[in-house]
Amino acid sequence: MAQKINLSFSGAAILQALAHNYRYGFDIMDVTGLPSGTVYPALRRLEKAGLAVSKWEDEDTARKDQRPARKYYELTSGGRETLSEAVGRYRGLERTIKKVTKGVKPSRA
Amino acid sequence: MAVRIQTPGIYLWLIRAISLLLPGPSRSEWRREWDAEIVSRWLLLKKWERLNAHSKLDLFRRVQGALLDAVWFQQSRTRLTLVALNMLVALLTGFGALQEFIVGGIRYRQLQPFLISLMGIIVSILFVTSGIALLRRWSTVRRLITLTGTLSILLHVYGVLPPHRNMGFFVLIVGAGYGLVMLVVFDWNERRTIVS
Repeated sequence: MAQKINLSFSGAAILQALAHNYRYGFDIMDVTGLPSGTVYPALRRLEKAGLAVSKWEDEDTARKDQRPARKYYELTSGGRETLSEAVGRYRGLERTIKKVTKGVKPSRA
Repeated sequence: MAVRIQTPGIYLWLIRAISLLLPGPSRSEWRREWDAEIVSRWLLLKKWERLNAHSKLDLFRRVQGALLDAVWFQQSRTRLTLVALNMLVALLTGFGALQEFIVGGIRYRQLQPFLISLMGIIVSILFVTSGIALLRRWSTVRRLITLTGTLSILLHVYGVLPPHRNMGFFVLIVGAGYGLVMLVVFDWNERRTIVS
């Protein structure tokens, strides 16, 4: 079950990126403009709080692309609820992600 | 000078080095995640023919962040503080002991400075070892901490006593004082972790 956590702007931006289907650490960095030292610990924290879940990518899919399987993250229902609350709180959030994501496509297979 | 890195090997090597900071059970999965991201990005950049000095620097910056990510896995800030202080005290003790070892022990061939500085070097190595044990959560950590703390207290108390007075009051405070603090804080932290 999702815990109630005080979501920072960075945390909300990461949830927003996940909601836009950017599911890998490096992709999230690209679209949020946040450094890896912020994104990865935040992803661990969100996962621990039950707002996101991580899974390993299918080996066959990765092999077809001739690269190693990556770990991807998804929003949980608790994460979606928390995000919708955060969008209300951080007014610039939706706009920020949209601005950065122009022309950046998720690099998933 | 142009950056001439042709494989992601150096980044993977850095990740391997940083992964040593992680507790054993989390290490392999953590490394797998970072390795996969780096190799995938490298291959993508190569495919897009955008593998240049700028993109390699960007990849390096990303790898730097892995250090903060690894630190996150060390849930106990008290442990991390102890590790940092252990390394600092090891450096100070080791530096003083090595000087005494070379000058008093080897150059002037005096037995007492030789023995006490040798002991100082051993204590310094023990501080480093117990720091690593704290980080990597070795099962022998308690024994190592107890041994290091006790030896540090004994060494520094003996060091200030007459007639030799090998050490000053400040060294006593740092060496013996920290030895005692380390023993108490480690024990308190372990009890607190068990209770919670």
